[in-house]
Amino acid sequence: MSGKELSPEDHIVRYVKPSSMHEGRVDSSEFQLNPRRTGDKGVSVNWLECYANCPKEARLAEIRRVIRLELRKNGRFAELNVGEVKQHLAEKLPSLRIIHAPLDAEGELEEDPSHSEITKLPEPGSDQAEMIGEMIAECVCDLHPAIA
Amino acid sequence: MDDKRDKEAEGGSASSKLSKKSESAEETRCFYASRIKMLRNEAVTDKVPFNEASESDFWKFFKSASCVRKGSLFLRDNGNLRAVWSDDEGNRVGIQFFGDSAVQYVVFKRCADGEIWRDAKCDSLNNLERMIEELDLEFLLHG
Repeated sequence: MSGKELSPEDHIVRYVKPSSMHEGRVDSSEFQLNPRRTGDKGVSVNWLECYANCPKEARLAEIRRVIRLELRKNGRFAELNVGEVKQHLAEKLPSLRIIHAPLDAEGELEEDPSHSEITKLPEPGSDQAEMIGEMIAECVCDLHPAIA
Repeated sequence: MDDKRDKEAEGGSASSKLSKKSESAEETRCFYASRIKMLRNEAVTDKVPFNEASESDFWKFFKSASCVRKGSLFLRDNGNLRAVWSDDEGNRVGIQFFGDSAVQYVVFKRCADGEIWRDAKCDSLNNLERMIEELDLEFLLHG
């Protein structure tokens, strides 16, 4: 994990499963640590600009190819701008970081160079986690099909 | 039947307005019932629980708050339903239904000075309804 903070101009996408997606809104749980995965330090996202010099659709295609999740037809990739998230949370959670955390190849799994994480999030399930998750969900600027 | 349509087209009497409101509430009820059916299927696919007490509290809230506006309804991995209503001004009410009249809510309210006031808390269903009233956020649910 390189731990380099992403730039404000960068964009990230988070895979959102169908039960967390309705009427164009994303549930705040997608931006909270998973209480069942106690070892998690952050919420997994993918950094779009990691794949330079190619259009967004090609970047998304690469993310769909390497992501270590089972993508569903009616799931979506929620896109957020790093700077907007940090600015929106500047007062409530100034410690929030969005860092590059590439994954190495592992067994049959290919490397995922765009993997990144939203870190320094509040304790999962807490009132603060709900509020912060909701505020991050407000920053979703676009939704893309999980399966093209 | 034609007479009734004519009266409604004219702007309607109190009874026709009431009838329209009931139709709207019924439409919204069907909207949520259909979503919950889908979420039940998702629970099976995702191998997560579905909390019946959470659904029961959602419907209790739907009825008592005279909710006619279509919001978003999600299923959490813990099996709870969570509903969100919001507008373009930054007002927002998000409610996770734990069951047994317990909820966790998030409220964002655009104040007169333009700032957004935010709060999140665990409370009872009754207190939540009172709080929504006090903050004048009922319009998010009523349309």
